[in-house]
Amino acid sequence: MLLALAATFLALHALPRGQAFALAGVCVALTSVGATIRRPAVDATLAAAIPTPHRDEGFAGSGACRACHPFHFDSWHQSFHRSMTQVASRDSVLGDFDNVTLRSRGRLTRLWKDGDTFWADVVDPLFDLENLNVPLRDLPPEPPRVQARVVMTTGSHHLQTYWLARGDAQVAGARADDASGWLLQLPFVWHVEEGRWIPTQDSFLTPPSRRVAAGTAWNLSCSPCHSVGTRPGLEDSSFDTDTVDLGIACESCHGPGAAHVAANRDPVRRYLQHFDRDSGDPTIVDPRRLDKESSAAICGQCHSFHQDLDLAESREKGVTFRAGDALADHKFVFGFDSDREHPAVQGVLTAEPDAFDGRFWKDGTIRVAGREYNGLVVSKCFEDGEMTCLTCHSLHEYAEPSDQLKPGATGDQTCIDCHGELAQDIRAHTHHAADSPGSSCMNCHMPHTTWGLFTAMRSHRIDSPSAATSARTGRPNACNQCHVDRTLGWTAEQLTAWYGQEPVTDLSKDHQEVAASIVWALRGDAAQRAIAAWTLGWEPARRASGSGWQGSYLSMLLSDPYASVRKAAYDALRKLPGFRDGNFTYDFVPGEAEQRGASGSAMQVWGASRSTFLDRRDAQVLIDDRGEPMQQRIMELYRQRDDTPVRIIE
Amino acid sequence: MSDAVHPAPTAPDLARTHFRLGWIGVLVFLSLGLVLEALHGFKVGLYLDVDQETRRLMWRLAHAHGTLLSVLHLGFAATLAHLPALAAPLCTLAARCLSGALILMPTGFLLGGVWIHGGDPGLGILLVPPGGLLLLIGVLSIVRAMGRRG
Repeated sequence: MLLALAATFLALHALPRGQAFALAGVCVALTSVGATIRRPAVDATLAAAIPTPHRDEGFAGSGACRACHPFHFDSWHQSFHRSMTQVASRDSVLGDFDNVTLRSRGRLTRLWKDGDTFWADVVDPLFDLENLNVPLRDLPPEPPRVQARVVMTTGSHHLQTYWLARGDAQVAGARADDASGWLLQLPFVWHVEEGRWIPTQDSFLTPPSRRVAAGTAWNLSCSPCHSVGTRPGLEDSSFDTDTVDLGIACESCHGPGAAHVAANRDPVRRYLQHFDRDSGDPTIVDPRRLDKESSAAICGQCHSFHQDLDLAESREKGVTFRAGDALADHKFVFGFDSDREHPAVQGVLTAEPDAFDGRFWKDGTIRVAGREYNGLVVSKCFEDGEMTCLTCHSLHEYAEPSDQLKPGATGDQTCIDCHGELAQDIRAHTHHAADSPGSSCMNCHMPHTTWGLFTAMRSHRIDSPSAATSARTGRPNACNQCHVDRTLGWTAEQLTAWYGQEPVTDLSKDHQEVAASIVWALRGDAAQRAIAAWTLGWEPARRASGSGWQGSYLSMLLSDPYASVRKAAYDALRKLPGFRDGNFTYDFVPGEAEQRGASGSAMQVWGASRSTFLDRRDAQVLIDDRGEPMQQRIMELYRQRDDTPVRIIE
Repeated sequence: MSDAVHPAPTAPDLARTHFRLGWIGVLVFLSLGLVLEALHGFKVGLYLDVDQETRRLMWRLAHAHGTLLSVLHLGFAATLAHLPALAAPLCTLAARCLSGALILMPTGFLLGGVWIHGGDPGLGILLVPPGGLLLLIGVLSIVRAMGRRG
């Protein structure tokens, strides 16, 4: 438009009037076309629904960092941290909104798009939140529905969830008493890799339920970790939420940057900084220069099981933790041995009585993924050494964006940097071939004992395998995660022989006779079953223990009460011979009752392939000399299944 | 020792000098353009990687400023050839300033892109402001010389 005005001004002075107006007209037309092509990504309705931007409290916003730090800006921009929360747009929405109708627990959800806008016709999510504690039988058969606009997304890597604007302007047919500003969760998530919708509650390891679980409000539950400097602005029953950045951005880890930006407008100061790299810049937090506690706390502000100390204040004004602060000054990080009388613990236990049982193994090791800080801070490498998150991870110079490991930290080198003496003769330490998975530091000291996003992830409590701990807590050990065909008793003997560990004398009969992975898969609680299912399909485990015998156990887990366990079992099953060629398809979403037939079908596929692929005839894996499953013993274990409710919500 | 006083260069002398300077500049900076295109063609990370954004900007500015300043020298030379009666002292000043600008500005950008510090160019960039000042004085001198023309 400025161009058009300038052209008009010049034309009026330099050209005859007729030509001048013609030229000005062309310029205005071209400008209008340009404006049409470059329509703003956020329309007015959307802008009113999403958190408004603010630059208070010393924040500058990530855009202010780009001019001076193009590399760091770019590496952040490519990360999944950046895209954790995005405004819903054609670019950010990955799910299928092409007139899709979804059903879960008897409820229908319809999704569609209108131009560049995305919509959902759903049972009012606010109704579910308001009736959280009302028994299912007391809910009306036709709960109120709304047509609400999808305004934001969370996640872009594994799963993507969607946020519906609950303000009047975005909801057709909204009730008169609608609270405004609520950003409420769509009851389905998009599974990116599989390209399908999944009921949100089935994307977590949660007890089976016939009712649709109430979603959450982004303003309260997600904003603290999935955005920067967000102030929920909860007052009465409405939100007036504002934010610095959507997604995890620069100031999440470097602290508010306005003072840094202001100071570095001075080029002399900047160049003095360039030539004095040792001193650092006191106007901004560099996590690499902090002591280990403060450095880890930056990641721990989100990657821990925690709660803000002043919950009421944080619901109104947002989180108070800033990079460089001591975490304990702002948050209560829960441990299995936390004082159960502490108000924060009481608060969690009131809302979720089994919160600790689900999230921790019985020795206090965290078992929910994404809470790595809880594991790190009880590791010897942190307690007695100088290890922090940044020892292995780099948010800017990473090998790949998924785990953001440093290029040199994808293998054993980071461990060897401190434990170099072991690398001199790695075989003497591991008793495994040097180039085998059994000689990988991470495989033994960071086993896959946390669960989230439908997969087992590495524990960040760095410790050594212990059969005694496994027997006492049910936490799988690294040995039995590879040697899935061996008993816990066998592991105990090896660890005693190789490392002088105390013999374990009080193992149960099952753990003396039956492979530990089978005991956990059949008799364990939901987390043990999910992890065992994943382990049975893990490639190093299949190499070490064969792959022809696991099919019967994974088939049984296809009718597990927990959707996550069923999916883990199916994912593992697909890796086994006999199942790889797509001759068995299965959908984990329908409930336990509907899945019994699927278990039977899978068992038939395994039975048919057994004569070709069966590679263990061994009482430890409960398969007799004739290659037949030892049904009586299997069912004995199966009937002992630990049905304690387990809730792992990462 | 010679006490000989160098006579002020005549307009045709200056025109010849600046035609030569202009065409040499065009040759040099168009060659630089070819080098930059080759860096694109061979996807040289040193020039194209995201963290090299400042270098890319500096070298493109060196190429653009060098080429355009060379064309400016050709324009100056053509002006002198067409209008030999332009005021000699001002033309001499303009010639020196434009020559200085032709050297300082592209060189500043070029050197500024050799060593970079994140979003900041290297210290070579310090050559650019004096070059820009010389350019301004040079053009101003030409305008004034045009005004004083008989």
